[in-house]
Amino acid sequence: MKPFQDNKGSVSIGDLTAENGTAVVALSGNLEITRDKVGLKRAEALKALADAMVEQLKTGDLPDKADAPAASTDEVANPFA
Amino acid sequence: MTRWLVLPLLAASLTAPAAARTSCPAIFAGGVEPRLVNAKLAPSTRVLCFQAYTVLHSGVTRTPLWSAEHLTRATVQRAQARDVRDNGYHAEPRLPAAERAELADYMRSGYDRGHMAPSGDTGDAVSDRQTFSLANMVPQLGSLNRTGWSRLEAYVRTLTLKLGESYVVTGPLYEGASLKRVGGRVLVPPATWKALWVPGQGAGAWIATNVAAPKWQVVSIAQLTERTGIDPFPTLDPATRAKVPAFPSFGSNGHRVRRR
Repeated sequence: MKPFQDNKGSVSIGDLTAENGTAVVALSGNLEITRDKVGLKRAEALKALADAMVEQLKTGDLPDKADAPAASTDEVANPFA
Repeated sequence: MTRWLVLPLLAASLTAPAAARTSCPAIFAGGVEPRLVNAKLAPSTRVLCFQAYTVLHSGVTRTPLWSAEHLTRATVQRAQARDVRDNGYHAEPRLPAAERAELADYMRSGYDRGHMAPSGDTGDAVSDRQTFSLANMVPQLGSLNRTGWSRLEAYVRTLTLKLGESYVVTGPLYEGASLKRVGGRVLVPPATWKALWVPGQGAGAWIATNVAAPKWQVVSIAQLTERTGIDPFPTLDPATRAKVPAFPSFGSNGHRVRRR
């Protein structure tokens, strides 16, 4: 996954999920870093993800705070009712 | 390998007596796929086979109507061994453009692309990637998808590890006079449901509302069928079908809520 580069990437590390977006990368879930080889692999994956996000954020002119994108939905009659 | 089958269904056959009609891998409980009881659901539906799951896709909602899986202790163990996974959402290439959701439909909608068959149930990279097809997604709020729904998926895996085998059918509930829509194309379900049958143990389902503070219900398969117009397990015996199981609920703030 290349953070902020597309709207389709998704990475899972244990029960933590990162969903890519050009405006937002969303992290959800939880993650245990155990003191073993599994934990090391998880920590490395997390670090790679965080490093890629930081690197990407440093490349452009960032606003102090971006406006949250306005959600757009419309409403239709239920075709199954 | 993947079976690239798309089977257009005839509306007339959908209310016919239960019989296996798909050539998908044998993942259905009793060998019989879920049945549409509400005939209004049938137009523009197609069965799509994937390695680890099968969906009935609707060109009306541009979502699945149901997504079916068969989990075993072995498949869950394989899935849980895959700790770091890299995937990508994609439109379903086997569907006609007019019937399928596109990535753009979900953009700036405020909704997640909510998996019906979970990525976390898959034991290999190809099966996992296939769960990211938009044919397996419904618009689901993060407040449900990322919290209680995710815990429900983990619970089903844990239960399968313990009991050895389960049949799982998951889908959107399209009820009410009007429905929200994203991208001007994809219908938002007011709730999503998951039906579980553990052979020899029992069956039942969860329904969770797709809102900022989701409400959870545990129901019998009979109640689910009445509510959704979809019978997830046509071969289930009447006594098991009528019973409301003692399932946990997954509402509010990370804590399991006791069933009433």
